[in-house]
Amino acid sequence: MIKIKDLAFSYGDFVVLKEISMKLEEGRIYGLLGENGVGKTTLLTLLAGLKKTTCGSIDIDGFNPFERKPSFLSEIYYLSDEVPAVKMTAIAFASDRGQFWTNFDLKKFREIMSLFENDVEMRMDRMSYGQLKKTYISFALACNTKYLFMDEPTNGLDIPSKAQFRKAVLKFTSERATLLISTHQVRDLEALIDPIIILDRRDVLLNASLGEITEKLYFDYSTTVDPDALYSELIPGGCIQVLKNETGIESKVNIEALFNTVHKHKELIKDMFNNKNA
Amino acid sequence: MESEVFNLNRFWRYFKSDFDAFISRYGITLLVMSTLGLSLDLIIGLFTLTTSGTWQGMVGPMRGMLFFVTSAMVLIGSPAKLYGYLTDKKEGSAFLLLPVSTLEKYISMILITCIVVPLMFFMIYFGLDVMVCMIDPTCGTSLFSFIFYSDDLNLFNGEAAFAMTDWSEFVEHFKVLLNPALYIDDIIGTTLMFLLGALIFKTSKTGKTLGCIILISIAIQIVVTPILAITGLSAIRDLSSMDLTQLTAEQFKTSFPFYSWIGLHLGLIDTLSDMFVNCLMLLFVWLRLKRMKH
Repeated sequence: MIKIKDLAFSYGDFVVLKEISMKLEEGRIYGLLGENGVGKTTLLTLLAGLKKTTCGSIDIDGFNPFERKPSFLSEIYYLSDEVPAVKMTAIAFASDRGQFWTNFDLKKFREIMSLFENDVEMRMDRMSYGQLKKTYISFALACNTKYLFMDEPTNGLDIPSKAQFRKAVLKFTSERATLLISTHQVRDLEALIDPIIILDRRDVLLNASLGEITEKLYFDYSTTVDPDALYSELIPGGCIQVLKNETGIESKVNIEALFNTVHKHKELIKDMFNNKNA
Repeated sequence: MESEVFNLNRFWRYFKSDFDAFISRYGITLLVMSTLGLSLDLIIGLFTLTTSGTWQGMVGPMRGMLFFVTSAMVLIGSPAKLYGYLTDKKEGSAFLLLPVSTLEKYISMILITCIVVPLMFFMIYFGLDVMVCMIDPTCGTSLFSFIFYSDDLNLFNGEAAFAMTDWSEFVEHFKVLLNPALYIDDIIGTTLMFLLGALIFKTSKTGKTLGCIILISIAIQIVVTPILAITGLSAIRDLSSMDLTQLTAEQFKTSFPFYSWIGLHLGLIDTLSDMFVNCLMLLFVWLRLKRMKH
């Protein structure tokens, strides 16, 4: 389990994260959403141990990530938005680096690469950005780590690859694995992420499962705007609006609408969900 | 359960991987640099053959100079080529998050930069040079023989450098400084300094490190020179009042005990000061690696 308590981080005088507290449970695929510059990437790098917290603590199964102990590192993989194009073939890269992750599975790497229609014998420095990204995604999933942190994994992927990515994550992620995916491309991952974390610069605005969200919010697709709607937006053929769920009827979560609702009513949403932060 | 600090099996796997990366990143450059002597020898030989009709390879001083320059280029350039990528966000993050302990990464890095690279370079360079000198009669003494066995380097042999008498004890200690083995720690020290620079600076790593070394040297000179001048003023005054042609080693020892102690322990002082600098560099490299962030 990941426990974050009163986390703060700043670059010099510039505060990026302040008093962030939350708990991430095992076996879930968390979607980490937030506006530009709220510190999503910073949070992921802090969890991976690439940065040291200014204040507060991060506890991942008893490890302090920044100590970068081998047994901790072999249970995490951080897939950065920008990936290096090393001068070796994908299969040579996977064999060479994979040997350090206890549960790395080369066969699985080949399978995922095949699903992405990527050539394992191709040199990585000759791959396009999308091919390179798919190679790293394949490697990340083949590491079979308990925690997988992905920063904008669908950036640079073409439309079929985005579908392949969702398929690969669902098929090749073990039940014990916890994924934390930071993204702006919410539509790419709508069917994948649950729970959803919405981060603000100095707060966690929401950390709730889709079930909890639909229990408290109702996503209405209609032609008329309800005056009590927390948020409404015109879409082709009508509008999407978010209301308090007072009837108990379940609805399909529209993550973009949810995101905008949360940002429009920060305090209300925090009170409604009484965040499981502390 | 494997140790979190050092596990021999994991270290060996990592070292092999790091060695492969070294070959991939710097192998060709190292090969070019270590065969530069041979290549230039062949070019000059062919040139003299076509112009004068006789084969004449590189002459001794030029071979020595070329060896010095290429050695310096390898020692100061290789750390940035091999580990400079660690300051890059993309590649540096991948390095830091590899499930190997920091100590294992550190040892492998030190072994490759301070031992493997210089050893491979010197072995190939000297090996080829010996080979050339065996085949080419115009070559003369090989660099290896010149450095390790030549009397030419024994500058203090024979008559004393000054018209002084009974200085053999001092001369013997000065000769210690000409022992090539004494320069192994200097080679290690140089690579460590440039390794530290490669881990600190994001761009122009070698140039900035060189600049820092020059600035630090100037700063040390500014501090040390006046101290030495002040403390040594009476000694200089005494020395200037003496007839140096009649000065014996015994008189020097009695009159200037501190300076004669230095003169009789040059090898030890050199080794200890190099060891101090090297330990400091090793510590700084370790701390930089341990606290590296992206």
